[in-house]
Amino acid sequence: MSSSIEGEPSLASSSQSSATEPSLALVPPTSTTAAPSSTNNAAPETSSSSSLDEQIERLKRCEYLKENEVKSLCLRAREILVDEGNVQRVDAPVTICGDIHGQFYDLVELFKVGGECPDKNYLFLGDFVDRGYYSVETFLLLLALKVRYPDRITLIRGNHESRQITQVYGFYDECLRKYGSVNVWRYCTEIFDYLSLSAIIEDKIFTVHGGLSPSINTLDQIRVIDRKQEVPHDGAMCDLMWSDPEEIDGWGLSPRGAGYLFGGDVVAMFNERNDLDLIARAHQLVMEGHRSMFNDALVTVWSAPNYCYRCGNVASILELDENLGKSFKIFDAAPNEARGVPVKNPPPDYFL
Amino acid sequence: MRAKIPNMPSAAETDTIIRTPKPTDSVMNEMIMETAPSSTPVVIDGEEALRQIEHLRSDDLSLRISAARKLTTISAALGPDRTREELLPFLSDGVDDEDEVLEAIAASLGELIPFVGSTPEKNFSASLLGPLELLLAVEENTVREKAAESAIKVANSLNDEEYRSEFVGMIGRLATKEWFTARIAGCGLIPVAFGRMSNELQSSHLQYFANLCRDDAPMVRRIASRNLGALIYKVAEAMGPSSIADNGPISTTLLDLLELLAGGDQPDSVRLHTTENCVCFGNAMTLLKEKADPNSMDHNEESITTRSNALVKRILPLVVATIDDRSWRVRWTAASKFALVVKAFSSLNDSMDALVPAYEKLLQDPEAEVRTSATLNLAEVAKTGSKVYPVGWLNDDNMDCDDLDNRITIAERLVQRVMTLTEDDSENVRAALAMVATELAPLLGKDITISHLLPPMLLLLRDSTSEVRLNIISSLTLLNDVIGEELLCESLLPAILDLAEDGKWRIRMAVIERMPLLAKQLGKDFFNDKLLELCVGWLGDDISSIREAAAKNLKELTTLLGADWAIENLLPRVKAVMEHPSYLRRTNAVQGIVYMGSAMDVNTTQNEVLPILLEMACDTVPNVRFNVAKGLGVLGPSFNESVYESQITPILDLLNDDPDRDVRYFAGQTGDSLKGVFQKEQ
Amino acid sequence: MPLSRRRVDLESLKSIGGTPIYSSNKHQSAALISDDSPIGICINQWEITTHNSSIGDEQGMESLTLLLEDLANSTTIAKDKRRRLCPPEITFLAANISLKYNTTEIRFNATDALMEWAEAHKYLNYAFEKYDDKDTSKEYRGVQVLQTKDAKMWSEKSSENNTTEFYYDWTFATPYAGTIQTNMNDEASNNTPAYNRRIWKSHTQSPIPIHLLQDTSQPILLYDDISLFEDDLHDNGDVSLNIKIRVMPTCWYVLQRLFVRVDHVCLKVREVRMFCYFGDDVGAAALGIDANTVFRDVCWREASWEDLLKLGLPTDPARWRCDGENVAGVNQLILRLPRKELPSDLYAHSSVCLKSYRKG
Repeated sequence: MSSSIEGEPSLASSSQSSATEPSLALVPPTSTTAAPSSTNNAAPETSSSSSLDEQIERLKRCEYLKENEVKSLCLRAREILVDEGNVQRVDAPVTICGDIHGQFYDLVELFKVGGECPDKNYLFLGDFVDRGYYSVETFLLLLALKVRYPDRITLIRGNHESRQITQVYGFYDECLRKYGSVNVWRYCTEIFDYLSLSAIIEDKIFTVHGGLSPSINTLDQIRVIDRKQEVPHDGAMCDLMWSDPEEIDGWGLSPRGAGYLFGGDVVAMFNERNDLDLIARAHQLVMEGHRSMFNDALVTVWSAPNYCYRCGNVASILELDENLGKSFKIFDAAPNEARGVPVKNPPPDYFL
Repeated sequence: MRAKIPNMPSAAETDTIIRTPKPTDSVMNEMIMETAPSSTPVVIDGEEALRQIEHLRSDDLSLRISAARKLTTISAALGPDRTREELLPFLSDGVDDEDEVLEAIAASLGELIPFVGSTPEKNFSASLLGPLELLLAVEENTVREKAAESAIKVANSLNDEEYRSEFVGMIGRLATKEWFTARIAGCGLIPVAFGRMSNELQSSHLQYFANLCRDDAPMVRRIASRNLGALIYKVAEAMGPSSIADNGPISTTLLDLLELLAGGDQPDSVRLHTTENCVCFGNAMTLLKEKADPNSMDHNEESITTRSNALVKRILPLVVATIDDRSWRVRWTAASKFALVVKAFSSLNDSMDALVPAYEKLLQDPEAEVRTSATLNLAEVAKTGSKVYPVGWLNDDNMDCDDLDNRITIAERLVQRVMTLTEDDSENVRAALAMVATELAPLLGKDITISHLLPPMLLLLRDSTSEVRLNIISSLTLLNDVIGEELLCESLLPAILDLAEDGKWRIRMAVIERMPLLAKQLGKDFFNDKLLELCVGWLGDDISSIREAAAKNLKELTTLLGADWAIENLLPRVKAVMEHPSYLRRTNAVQGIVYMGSAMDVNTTQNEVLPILLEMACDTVPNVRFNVAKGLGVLGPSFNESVYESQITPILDLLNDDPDRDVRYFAGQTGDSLKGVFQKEQ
Repeated sequence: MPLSRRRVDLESLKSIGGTPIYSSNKHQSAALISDDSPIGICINQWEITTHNSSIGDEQGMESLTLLLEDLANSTTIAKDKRRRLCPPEITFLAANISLKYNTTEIRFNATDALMEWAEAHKYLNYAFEKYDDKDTSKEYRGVQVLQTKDAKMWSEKSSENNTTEFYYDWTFATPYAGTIQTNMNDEASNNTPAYNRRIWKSHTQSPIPIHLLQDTSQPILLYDDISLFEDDLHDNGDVSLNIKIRVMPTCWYVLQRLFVRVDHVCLKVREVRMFCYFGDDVGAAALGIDANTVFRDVCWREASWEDLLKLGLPTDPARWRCDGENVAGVNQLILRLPRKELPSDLYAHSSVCLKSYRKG
C-alpha cells in the first residue's frame, strides 16, 4: 500500500536524504531568516515578527491569509517543525487541548477560557481540520502561533492531518472554495508531514492523538520512526493516531477490521516501562468533554464543543501547572453573537 | 447554450496592451486589477484576457464565474468599439444558464462604464443597459439585484435626455413585460428614477406602478408594496406641495394603493409592508411641512398642514389595523417599527389617542416575539412629546371636557403597563423590559417613578433569569439619577452577589464590566463593604478572560477610588495572588499590578508597585517573566531617568540574558522603547 | 446547543382549527429551543410532537450499550463468549418524533432503531471471516459484519499479535422502519418487535398519493428534521439515520433515511416513507384511500464500490458526502443505486388501519 498519494511532491528539506524536489522551495528559505534553533541565542527577527503579529491579528478575526502568505508561513513552520522530535519534549506548565475540527469560533472561545497564547502555554493533540466550517483559519492561526512562539505552543499530528482524510472530510473542499485552487491545501498537507507524533511533559505525561500500538513498547521506539510521510494505513505511526482505549484485556482489533483497541493492562505496562504517570489523548468524542479510564492512567480530552454544530456536547482543556497539578476547564460553544454569522435554519421543504 | 465569443485581438496586439480609459499618468502595474477604477490606467496582459474569454465558454462553472467577474479585463483588451459591438451583444445573447455566472456578469457590467467609450457628442454607457435589461428579467433574485445596482450606476453617468430616453424607457418596458420577474424589477426602479423624470413620464410611470400594485401575481404586488413607501416619499420630494393637492398624485393615486395593499384580502407578504409604508408616508408629510417656504403667504403653509392632516387621518386606521392583523409577522413588523410610526405621526396630536392604545395591544400580543419587539420600543414611544387621554377616558362621556387638562404624557400612561410586563412568561420580553424601562424615569419625575416604576424594577432585580437581572443592573443609572441611590442599594446587592457567581462566565464578565459604574454610583463605603471582596475574588476565577477582566478592572477602580485606597485595599490581595502555586494566576496578577500602577501618580507607582513587579522578574515560569518585561514597557516611561537606570535597566539586562527566547524578545522590545523615551529626554 | 429545525406555522394551524402543544417541562425545553415555542401540534385527533436532543451522556450511553448487548446475545451464551458491541459515537438519545391517535402511537427514536439492529446479531455467525457479499449466511435482516478495505492486511497481522476481535455490524445498518404501538397504555400486551412487524398488511403498489404531497399551496403546519444517530465509522465513511416530518392540513408525512457509506467498500440507503390522511371521508374517498390508515413504503438500495464503477457512478467518497451543498447531488445519485431485496418480514408497500384500535 503506497503511503502517499501518487504525484504529490513530498516536503523534503535540504537536510533530508530524499531527493524529491521540495514544492515549497520557490521562495528560498535562506532569504527570510536564519533558522531559529534551540541553540540560537538571538531574539527572533523583529520585522518578520511584526508581520507575523499582524497576520495573527487577522487570523484571530477569522480572516484567512493570502496564498503567498500561507506559502511563506508554511516554509517557516517547516524549519521549526523539522527540529522537533517524534516525542517532543514539553515543559510544564502547559494546557492540553484535544480535537478542534475547524470550529474556529470555538477555538477562540478556548483561548478565552484558557488564556491567550503566548501568555499561557499550549499543547494541541491534533485534528485541527475537517468537519467544521473554518479549517483553514483554524489551522493557520495555530500554525502562525507556532511560528511566532515556538516555545509556547506545541502541535502534534492527528489522523485528520492527512491528505487522504482531508479530501473526504472537508478541508480539501474548503481550501478549494476559499482560494479557488488547491495550493493552500498542498502547503498545509505538506506541513502535516512535519508535525510531531507525540509529546512528553516533564518526562511524566505522554500525549498522543489516538493511543498506543502493539509494536511500540518504549518511547525510544517512537523516536526512530521516520515520520515525514503521509499517515500510513498500518504500523506504529498509524496506531499512534488511530487506536482507542477500551475496557478489555490486552489488545483488540476494531470491529472495522482495521485499527487497534487497547486495554487497561496495556496502559499500565506501558506507563510502568516508561516511568509515566499518565497518558493524555484525544480522538474520541465525549459528551462531558473529558473522560478518565483505567484508574486515571489515561485521559481523553475533547475540545470541540457542540461538535459538528449539532452534538450538544461540552468541551474541555486540561491545565497542568508547574507541579503537574491537573485541572480540567469545561466550556460551551461560543454564543451566536460571537460567531458573527447567524446559523442558518433552512426553511421547511416539501420533501418527498 | 454558449454563444459565439468575439475573436481575440491578433497576436501583435496581445503582447501587452495598455488601455487608459482616461489618459492620466502612467503608473505601471504588473498585476491586472480585478475591477478597474476609472481613473487608473490598466495594463492588460493580452494572454490573460484571452484566457478569460476562453473561460467564459468553459464547461467548468468556477472558471466561467471568475471570467465573468473579470469583464473589465476582457473589455480593456478588446477596446471600446469591440466591447460594444461584440462583447455586449454576446452577453445579451443568452450567454449562460447558471445564476452565479449571470450574477457575476450583472455586477461586472456596472464596472464597464469607462470601457465602452465616449466622444464629446456621445456617451456610450447607455449601451450597457441592453444586456442589463435582459438580466433584470431573469428568475433569480440576486441576479436582478446586481443588475439593478449596475443599471443605476450606468444611469447616473447619463445626461438628462439619455436618462429619460434610455433608462426610464427601459423601466417602462420592464414594468409592462409579460414575464413577472421583469415587472418586479420595474417596481424597484420606478421610485429610483422618479425624481429625474419629465412630468409626462412621471404620470405614465405612476400609472405603471398603480398597475403593478394591482398585478395578478402576488409576487409582483409584494415587491410593489415594498417599494410603495419609497415612491410616496420620492413623489413628495419631487413635486412638493402639489403632490398632496386635491388632484395631486398622493391624494388621488398613491393613498388608494396604500389602502389597497393593506387590505385583508392581500397575502401576508404584501400586507407586511403596510407599517413601513405608513412611516414613509408620515415622513413625506413632515418633509412637505419642513420644506414649506416660510416667506410665502401664511395660508399656504397652513393649507399644507390642513391637507396633510386630512390625509394622515385617512392613513391612521391602516396603522391601527396592523395591530390586529391575523399574521404575527405583520404584527411583529408593526411592533418593531412602532417608535418610527409614532414619530412619523406625532405632529398630529389626536393621532396618539389612536396609536397609543394600539401600541398597548401589541404589548399584550399572544406571540412572545411580538411582545418582545414592542417592549424594546417602550422608551422611544414614551419619549414622544404628545399627550394622550388616560386609559378608559374615551369610554366615559367626557368628550366635552377641556382636552389639555385631562390629558397625561404617554410615559405616564405606559408606566401602568410595566408591572404586567414583569410577569410575562417569556424571558425575552422581561429582558427587553429590563433593558429599556428605566429610561421612563426621567420622563416621569421622582414621585411617579417611586410610586409606579420602582416596584416593578425591584421585581426584575429578583427575576429568575440572569440576563434579565443583568440588564436591569446595567440600566439602573437613570433610575438612580431620578430617585437617588439609597432606595436601591438594599435591593441591588443580593442581585449583584448572585450574578457574580453565575455559572455562565459571560454573565460574570458583564458584572465585572459594570463594577466601576456601580462603585461610582454607590460610593466608596458601600463598595468597600460589599463589592471589594468580589472584585479581588475574580482574580482567582477559573476562566482566564474573567481573571484578565478583573485585572483590567483594578485600573478603573484605582482611578475612581484613588491610589491610597488601592494601596490599602487592593495591593495586599494582588500580592497574595502573586504567590499562587499556578502561573495561570500569577501572570494575571502581574498584569493587574501593572494596570494599577498605570492609574497612580509616579511616586506611588515607584514606591509601591515597581518593587513588587521587579521581584516577579525572577519567577520560575517564563510566561510570568515576559509579562514583567511587557509591564515595564507600560510603566517605564513615567519614571525619571535615575529609576530607569538604577532599577529597570538591571532587570531588563537580566531578562535579556534569559534562557527563554520569548522573555528575551519582550525584554528587548521594552528595552528599545524605553531607550527611545529616555534618549529623547536627554 | 443543537439547532432545532422545528417550524410550527401557528397562523395556518389556528385558521384550520388545530392547536399548538407546549412543553410541560419548561425548564428542559428552554435549554434546547427558544422559549415558549411549541413542541408539536394537535390536529384532527392527532397529537404530533418532535424533539431534538444532544448526544447521550456517559451514563446514558453505557446503559444503552448494556441493553443492546443483551439483545445481541442469547441468554444461554457463556459470559466470555458474549458479543460486545458499541452504539454510534453520535447518538441523539432523546431525539424522537411521536404521532399519537387514540391509543396508538407511531414513533421514531434512536433506541428503538438500534434495538432492531442489535437484535439481528443473534442470528449472525459468531465468526469474522473475509468479507464476501455473496455469502448471505452472514447477513440477517440487512445487518452484516463488513470489513474495511484494509481489513485483510490487518487480520493477518492480528493473528500474529494475539488480539481479541470484535464482530458486529459497525455500520449500524438497522432494518428499522419506525415503531408502532397500538395500545400504548398497556405496556405488556402485543408490543413486541415481532408484533410490530406482523401488524402491517402488504399491498402490491404504493397507495401514497404523491400529488397531494406535491401540492405546495397546502401550508406546512409542522416541520422538523431530526437526526437519530451519526457515526464517521472512524473515518472509513459515514452513517446517519435521519427523519423528516411535515404535517399538512389533511395529512402527515414522514421520511426516514439511513445512509451508510463505507469508503471503497459499499453504499447502503434505506428509506421508509410513512403517510396518513386525516381529513374527512369525502376527501379520503377522492384519493382512493381510507382516512386514519397509515401507509408505509420501504425501499432499500445498495451497491458495492465495484457496482459503482459498473454503473458509471462516482467512486470518489467525497462525492457521496451527505452534507452542505452536496445534499441535492447525493439525492439524485441515490436514485441510480440498484434496489435491494427486502427481508421477508418487511414489505415494500403496506398499511395499518388505526380505526380498529380504539379505546375499550
